[in-house]
Amino acid sequence: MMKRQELRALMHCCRPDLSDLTAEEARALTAGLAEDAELRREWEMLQSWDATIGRAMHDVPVPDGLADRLLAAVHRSASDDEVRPLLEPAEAAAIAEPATVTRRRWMAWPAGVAAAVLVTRLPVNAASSGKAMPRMLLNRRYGLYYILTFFEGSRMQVFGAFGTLILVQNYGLDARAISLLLLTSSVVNLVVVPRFGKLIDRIGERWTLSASYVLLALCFIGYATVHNALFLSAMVIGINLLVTLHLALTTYVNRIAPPEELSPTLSAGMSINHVSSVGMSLVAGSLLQIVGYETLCYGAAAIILVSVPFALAMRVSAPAPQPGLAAAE
Amino acid sequence: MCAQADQSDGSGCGKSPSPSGGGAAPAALTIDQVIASHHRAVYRYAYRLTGMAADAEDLTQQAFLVAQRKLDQIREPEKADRWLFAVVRNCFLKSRRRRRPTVETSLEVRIEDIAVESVADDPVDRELLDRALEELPDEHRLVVVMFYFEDLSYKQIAQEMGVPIGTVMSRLARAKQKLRRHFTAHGSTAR
Repeated sequence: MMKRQELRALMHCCRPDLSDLTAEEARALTAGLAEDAELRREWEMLQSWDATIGRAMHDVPVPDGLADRLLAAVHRSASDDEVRPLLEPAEAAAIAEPATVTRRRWMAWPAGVAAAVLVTRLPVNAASSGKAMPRMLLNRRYGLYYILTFFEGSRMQVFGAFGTLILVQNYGLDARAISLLLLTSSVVNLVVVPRFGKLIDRIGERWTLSASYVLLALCFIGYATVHNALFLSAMVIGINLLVTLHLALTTYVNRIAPPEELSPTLSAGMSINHVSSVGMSLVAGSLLQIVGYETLCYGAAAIILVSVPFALAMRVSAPAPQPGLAAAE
Repeated sequence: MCAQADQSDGSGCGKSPSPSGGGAAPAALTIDQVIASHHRAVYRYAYRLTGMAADAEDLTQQAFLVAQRKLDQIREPEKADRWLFAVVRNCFLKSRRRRRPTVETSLEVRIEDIAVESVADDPVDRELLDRALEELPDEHRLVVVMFYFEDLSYKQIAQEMGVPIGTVMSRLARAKQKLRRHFTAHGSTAR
């Protein structure tokens, strides 16, 4: 004997004529309806409701000329399919690939070759004093720079790769909305970033980076906790803005490294950043589906907060004299 | 009856349904005939899934472009609508696949949520139904449209969608409950 709850579950899902029920289910439901007046009343209401909604479902006005437009579309598609096999391969390829794309591809070749020639003709190290230096320099003195660069690569990748993806995937933002968001972010950066340079000069790399890390961590936590597309878009703009403060890391190295060590140290930092970025994108990409983006954002916030003590440990005695400036003075 | 999709249609809509019917080959069915006979039903179906006229027309066009290439699969013209509905569904699901999945909730449906009056003859406000459907998660809306529009049973829906019967029952009960709540909240007589 089926329980009342089971009968109600069937009632809410079966067809009015019970044709989709097994013989046993139909018997049980029929018996239940005969015995239980309340159940019978509910069944009648459900039937009434289903009939009303069923009729309303088909009540959709069809736009004028729809059939003509559909016919035109399928005939256009058919003519494309019929013409293509009759053409020479090059002509068929030209149809498949718009002329502008083909033209751009042919223009890209000489441009690429020219760029390669230019790169090989550039001096190896414009600031070189003639002393032979390695391409990359790993020195304990620049340990904080390496560590902070490593963390920077990790968190940047988490957000750079998945920040906008989440807005598209989970909040349904379309290409236009994302383009507008990124454009807004670029404009904000354009206006604000020059002021950041002055800020670094005024309060130093140590406090600039520390403050930016704390704010970034708060942004990431906001990204994980608030489920509102508008808020998250604001966070994207905020995070993209705060990320630009990593230039304080470069100015930090510039202050502590002698000119001949600057390029190899920055090269080493760039490599560390890339290794960290690639590793983190693999890890984050794998984890995204498993743990959800919220957990990833919390993880990024944790990585950022771990950076704070390292940023506070920075010590810059005095700005290193700039060769160009010194010569000018 | 449309069986579960099993092959790529090569049109960007993921899967196309298996041939409609298993009988002998029909007398040369043309795409013009298919469009003339079924464009209204297909458009209405697409509209109920998308809730927007422009999206519905796009989806309808996609379905007929697929039909044009797979015309030989329509072996029983009278069942072509089911085949086309399945194509529309696949295209719709493909376009929405990246959306956030909703969490399934309990099957419990409270009797007090069901309004008492019988309104079988009352018309339903079209816009109210549009809005109510729009508020449903995609997978709930899909089940509701298959149930009311295609008159499929919950077992057939489960078979078409390739999900467990219990999941379909749960989605259907929840979706109906949400529709009723929407109508009740907006004071419609259709409850």
